Amino acid sequence: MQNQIKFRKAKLGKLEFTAFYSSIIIIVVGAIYWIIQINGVLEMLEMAYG
Amino acid sequence: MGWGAVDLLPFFEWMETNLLGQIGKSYGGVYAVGQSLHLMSLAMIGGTVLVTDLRLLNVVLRDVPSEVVVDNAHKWFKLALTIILATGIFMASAVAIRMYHNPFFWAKMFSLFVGIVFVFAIKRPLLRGKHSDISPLVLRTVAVASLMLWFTVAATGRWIGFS
Repeated sequence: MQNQIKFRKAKLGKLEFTAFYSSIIIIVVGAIYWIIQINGVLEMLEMAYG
Repeated sequence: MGWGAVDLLPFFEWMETNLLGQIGKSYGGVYAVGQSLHLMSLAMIGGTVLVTDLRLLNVVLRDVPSEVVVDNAHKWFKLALTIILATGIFMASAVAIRMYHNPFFWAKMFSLFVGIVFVFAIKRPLLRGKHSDISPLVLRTVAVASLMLWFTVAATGRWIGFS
């Protein structure tokens, strides 16, 4: 019984680790992507309207 | 545009000339129905993602256990995803070559792929058990990443139409 609980905790720990770091990567890459896109739009607006 | 040594242009040319592509091109009414279903399922995905992730962030439905919200929303998410994929393939077939040259189409496909992998390989297995066993920091980070991913899918999808 205790082994089962230990195994379940270890599995959850691994999942938590994977979920946390993959989420961080997604947030960082997403933020960079949208900053680049918004800057591109701002540059175009500046070219068009000064 | 191709991925490494694989050039996908012949595949997109074939998509546009096959029966699905021809139906989409020739029958505006059928295309419009497909697009309506596509947008409705996009709204449904948006709803399930918002309710799930905002619950994990403790913003909405605080009186309902997060396990209940997540499990119920996931059923509708799967249905909406199935419809969005089917109608998306139909819609892309009608304008496949134009899509091939559109960078926002590729951005959407990439974020959709990452979104599906994230939901079924990471988020769902993590949230299957009791949420009180999971660190709140992990739950919140997963929720923010999920919101970011599906926002990117929706926004790049809409951007296709304006580029």
